[in-house]
Amino acid sequence: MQRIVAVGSETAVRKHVERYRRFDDATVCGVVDADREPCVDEGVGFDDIDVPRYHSLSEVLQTTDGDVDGVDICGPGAAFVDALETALAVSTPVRCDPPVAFDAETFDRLVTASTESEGWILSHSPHRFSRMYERLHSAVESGGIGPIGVARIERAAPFDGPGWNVSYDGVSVVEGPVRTLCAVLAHDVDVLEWTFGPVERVFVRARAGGRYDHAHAVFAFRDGGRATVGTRWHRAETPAPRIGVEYSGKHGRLDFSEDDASTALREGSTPLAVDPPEDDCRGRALRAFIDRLGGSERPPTDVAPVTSSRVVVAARRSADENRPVTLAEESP
Amino acid sequence: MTVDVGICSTAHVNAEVYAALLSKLPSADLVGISGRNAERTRRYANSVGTAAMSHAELMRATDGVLVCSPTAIHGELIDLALQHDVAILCEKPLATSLTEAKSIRDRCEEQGAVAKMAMPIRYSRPMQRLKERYESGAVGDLLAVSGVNRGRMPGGWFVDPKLAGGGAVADHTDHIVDIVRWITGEEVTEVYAETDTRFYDIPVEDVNVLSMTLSNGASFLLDGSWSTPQKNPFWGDAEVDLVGSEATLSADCFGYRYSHVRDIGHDTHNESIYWGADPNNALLRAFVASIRGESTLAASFDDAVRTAAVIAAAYESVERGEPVDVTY
Repeated sequence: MQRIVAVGSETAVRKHVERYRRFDDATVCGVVDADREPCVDEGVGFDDIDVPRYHSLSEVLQTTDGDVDGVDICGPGAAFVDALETALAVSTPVRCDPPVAFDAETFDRLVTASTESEGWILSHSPHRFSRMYERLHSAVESGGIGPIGVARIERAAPFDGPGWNVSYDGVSVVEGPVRTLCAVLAHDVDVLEWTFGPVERVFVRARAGGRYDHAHAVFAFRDGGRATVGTRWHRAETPAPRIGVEYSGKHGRLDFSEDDASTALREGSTPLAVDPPEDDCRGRALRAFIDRLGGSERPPTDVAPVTSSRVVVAARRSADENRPVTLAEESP
Repeated sequence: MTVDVGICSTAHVNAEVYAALLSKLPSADLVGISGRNAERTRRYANSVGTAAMSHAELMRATDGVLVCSPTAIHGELIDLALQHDVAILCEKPLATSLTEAKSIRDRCEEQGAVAKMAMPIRYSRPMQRLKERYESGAVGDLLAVSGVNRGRMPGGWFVDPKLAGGGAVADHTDHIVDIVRWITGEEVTEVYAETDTRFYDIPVEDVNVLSMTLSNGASFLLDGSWSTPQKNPFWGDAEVDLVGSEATLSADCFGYRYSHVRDIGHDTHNESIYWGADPNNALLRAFVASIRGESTLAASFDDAVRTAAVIAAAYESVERGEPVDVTY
């Protein structure tokens, strides 16, 4: 039985705990409440999670005498760098969403720490584990559209659930909208690199104001092809559609929008989840983490994948300096 | 009373569309179609019941011409029209370079000619409503613009850099830049461009992604690639999102479509057909109205110079690998 500590905001931790409960070979032995701006959208308190609650990961490790197999950071690693470093210091593996850092200094420090530690970091986007993206990925990999020409992603919401914009509001108050939007870009970067290979160059513009924030990024892949990711995020309402993805290649085009998924089951105009939680994209991401913990092999690199976070560091720099950043410049 | 109009050159893919619409326009008489390729010109002319003639003959016979030649020939045909005091509706872009575009604009201004650009998207009803909503303040402060104007790779002279002035950048930057300028009143001040040739074995770029800044600081992302598959059921798209402090408004110029699946023969099996009000028809009606001296929404040659400046900046950005200021 893998003993997991879940670290993150209340809403995210609750969703992860719900999924771990459905696994036979995992248990959540503690939660670290990292809420800065408590979310109340679901109307249920954090205390109903029947798991010991702590103020820090160090406190968990002290109390349990280090009897922890893995740390699950329920959100981007970059928002919880202290927990990442604490876990690596005691050689405990970590799963988190990308990116693991927003600046080169922190990124390099984490890569070094993971190299020197028996622990490691899994930082794949849960999007990789969705059936939709898997099908797109395999279609591209099998040559279904030929070499990529242009990939285009429009995103108005990063994650599942209708309360996403509430959590954005809470996060953006603390982190600032540009950093938060770059955290959203990290998920698309991860999927793009997974599907089309490494990004060579990135150019980003970001604007914030009023009820909307916006960022867009232009990517050049090392093997050729280009991609754009446009994000817009409303502080109070869910824009529609929340996601649109299009891959255009030499021999055809693949595309999907939120409408493709949200029409599968509806109650009135509200889309309902079809997959059981343990088998949705997030549940499958957690399953992969548990399987890795139970296996004998480390991930292929100490931070896997490492490049999507590197691209986000470059994206931040591009937005700050208004210039394209080539990834060779970002090598640790 | 009708106005005599003609189509000058059949080289552009829109010449056939314009011919069909003009032949049915009550306010216009399509008096002829001119071109250097006599056989193709005759075929086009016959298909709409008009005469095939030389460019000079057409200029003598008309009040206004639609210039549908390769871009590099625009200046020569426009000069011919100016010599005959004929009104001009020119396909975009105006010229293969910013310098030439300015020169054409100046020559037309000196003569006081009626000279308009074929920018049908200004006549799209969704775009017109978008402009009204924007001007009413519904968007608030404009933060960002996102646009697409992808299409099928047209081939022919469009992929000859000498005749077209470039590839997808030259062909598919104009419409959305023009419509955003028209709606917002803002100018493009900076361009970063990523281009490549990925879809076809052609000597020009077919990938055209532009990241721009507007004069009010708003960012502006445009994908104008020739990325629409040749077998796609519709030719392409033209969409604009305006992201503001208060709201995001989106307009899809060709959103009104239905699908037609054919289950006979060996031709195209699946086609999407636009059923909304036709912006090309409105463009042609407006051109006829402008010949009569009535005011219209049409894009001027000065507007064309401004989009030509953005195109020039995009190519310069590719060459320098960095964002560049737009010089008008």
